[in-house]
Amino acid sequence: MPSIVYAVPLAGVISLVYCSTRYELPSRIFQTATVMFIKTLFGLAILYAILWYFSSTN
Amino acid sequence: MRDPRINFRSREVAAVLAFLVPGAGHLYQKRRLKAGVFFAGILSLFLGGMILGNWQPVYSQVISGPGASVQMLPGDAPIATSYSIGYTAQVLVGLPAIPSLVQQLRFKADMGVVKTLNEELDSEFVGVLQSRDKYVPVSGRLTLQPARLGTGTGTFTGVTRDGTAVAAEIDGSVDLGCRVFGSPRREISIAGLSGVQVGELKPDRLYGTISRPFLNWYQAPRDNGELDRLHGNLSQRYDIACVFTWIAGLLNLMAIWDAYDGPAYGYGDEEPEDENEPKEN
Repeated sequence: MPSIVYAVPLAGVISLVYCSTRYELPSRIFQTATVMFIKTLFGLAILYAILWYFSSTN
Repeated sequence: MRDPRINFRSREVAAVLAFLVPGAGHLYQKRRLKAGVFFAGILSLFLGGMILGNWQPVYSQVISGPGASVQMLPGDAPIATSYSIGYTAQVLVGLPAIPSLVQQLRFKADMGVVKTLNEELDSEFVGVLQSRDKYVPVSGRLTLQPARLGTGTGTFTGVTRDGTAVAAEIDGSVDLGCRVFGSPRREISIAGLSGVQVGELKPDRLYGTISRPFLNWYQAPRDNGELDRLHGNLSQRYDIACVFTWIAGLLNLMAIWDAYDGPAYGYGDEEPEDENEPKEN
């Protein structure tokens, strides 16, 4: 299993716990956590793609 | 300012409970959803890290001393102790990381190579037979009876790598690695084998490791050799395991603060500020 998959549960827990400490209202917590989770994965995917590109061209 | 809709009860008690068990402070305040999120999220991350790292990513101290192995040092040997920086994050998870501190005390109280067997030892063994400067890798079963200081009697039965059966009688000096140490393997050195022959060789020494009980290695201090072995066996999985446990602790720090002082940005139903609205001077 590639190590990158461990980033998915990690990002999920960080997003949910972090947003739970920012707000009290459940709907707001889940809404912001979902957005944060997607943004985090998107950012990691871009970073992974850049690293993969440079490591595969050498 | 704290939101009046949240019943904090005793904030100090809530913070202490939140430190001891993630989510317990919020449960005490009857904030059940958050209690569930913190309990499940933080503990699953910590547990996931422990499983990934073969239950060995958490330790409070790294020990170094003269010689290759800290396990086999005499009790009065000079040792240097350094604290694990990662543990300052891990300990924030509370009770699940506290055994490290207990093991630290147990290691200190019981340090040093063991030369006296108080009870019978019966364990699987992995190591080498030595005959002068020749070594033969073997694995098998080791049985030792209690004996006078520094000696032991017993038997070893096993096989070499190429499948040759070997059996030896033991009647000689036995050195066992210290009782509490952060490795599931306990080193053992035996001099005084008889009745064993492997090809041309007649080994008279046995070096290797036997298994150590879980409670004697879990979260206990270790040396750099053991950390190198962990990295060698688990590779980057060990680093990922450490990151999981560190982050679990750091997330619980935010949860503790939430139990003490409430959510950082407010309740969550406030109207967003309109950036186009002219500011009052």
